[in-house]
Amino acid sequence: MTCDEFRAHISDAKLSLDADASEHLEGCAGCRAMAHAEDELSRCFAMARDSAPKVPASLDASVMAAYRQRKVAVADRHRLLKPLAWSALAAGLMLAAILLVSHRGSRAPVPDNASRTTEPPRVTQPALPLPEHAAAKAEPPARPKVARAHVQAHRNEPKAAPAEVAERRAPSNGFQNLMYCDPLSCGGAMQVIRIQVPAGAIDQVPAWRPSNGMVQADVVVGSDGIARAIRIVR
Amino acid sequence: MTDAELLRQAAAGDEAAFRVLYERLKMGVFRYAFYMTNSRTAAEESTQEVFMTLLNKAKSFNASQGDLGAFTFGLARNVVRRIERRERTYRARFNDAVEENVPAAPETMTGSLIRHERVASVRAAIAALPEHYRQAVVLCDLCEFSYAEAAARLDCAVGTIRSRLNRGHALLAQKLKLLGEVEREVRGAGAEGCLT
Repeated sequence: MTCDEFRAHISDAKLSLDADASEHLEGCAGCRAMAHAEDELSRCFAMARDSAPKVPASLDASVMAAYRQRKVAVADRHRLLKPLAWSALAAGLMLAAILLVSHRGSRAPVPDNASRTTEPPRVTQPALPLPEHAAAKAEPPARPKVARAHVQAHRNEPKAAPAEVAERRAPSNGFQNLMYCDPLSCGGAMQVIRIQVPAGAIDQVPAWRPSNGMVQADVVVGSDGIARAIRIVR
Repeated sequence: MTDAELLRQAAAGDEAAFRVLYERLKMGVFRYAFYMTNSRTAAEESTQEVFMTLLNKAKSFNASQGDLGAFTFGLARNVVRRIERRERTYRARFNDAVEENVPAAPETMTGSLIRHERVASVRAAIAALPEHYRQAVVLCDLCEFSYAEAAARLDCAVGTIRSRLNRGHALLAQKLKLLGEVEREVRGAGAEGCLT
């Protein structure tokens, strides 16, 4: 038996040695010292085990007191959290109800013949009139030179009377302005397009009742694609 | 009733179940903490903290992954490690472990004193070992776990436990060399100094 084998053996077999190990022990001083040390250590461990302190009664009492404290704390937390949880649940339900109602409201019934119509015309918000100096600064995108010359000529003209401006805003040819128009914003070529829309889709309700719920309208559309004015056609 | 059931009931507020569970596990936890820290105060603190943590983590305990003893040992190991880290800078170690059980056999005054001193030295030497050696020595030599049990608790191979024990024993033998001299001196003093 080698020293390594002996050491592996002694760590497993503790103090009971077989014949091979005993024979090696007699001839090897190093292993004898190690075996002696192991023997001493074993006794030391036994002594340390025997003299280990018992769990003190004060610790038992302290742990049980901590347990009771924890129980009370948990009960308190539950008591506090219960109404909070109910409130949160109620709020959640209320929110869900509001969302449901608003979702249904947004899906209003559509007339049956709406599917036969074309897309409703694009309606833009009326633009606010800009002050003159701001309007001069604002450069409309890709405006033709002709229009610029027109604007320049318009600037050189004497200002129109208020009655004339009113007439421009509400022309007498049956068209109703959909946005503010002046030579600056409504200059250039225009197109008139005839469309068919559901009667409910336009603000201008005709006095006569359309037979199929649809009305025809002429829309003045600028080169930028924005509708300028509309006229109901009977 | 199994430990897992007791734990579930204790966590639900059953004090009797907690008491039974505590009685079953307290000795192992306390002794492990005591041997690891060599401090009775730290052992008491650790034990209390382990049981409170056990209650708080009752829901995370899964009986199919191991027994409650192993789970508790894991908690104890973490708590002891944390307490040791905290106390390392404040306290000279191993100086409050002065109270031991009174030996069953009657002893002379000198013998008793020397025995106490020896036990204190052994504990001090164990507590001064690096942690991984200390774990192996405490579990196998003091808590009397088998190698396989210790390996399972420490989540390592049996061979690792064996090599750590060998190394730990070698370090302890070096540290306890003085002990042999004291013992020789006592033996030389006469019959009263017999330690065996």
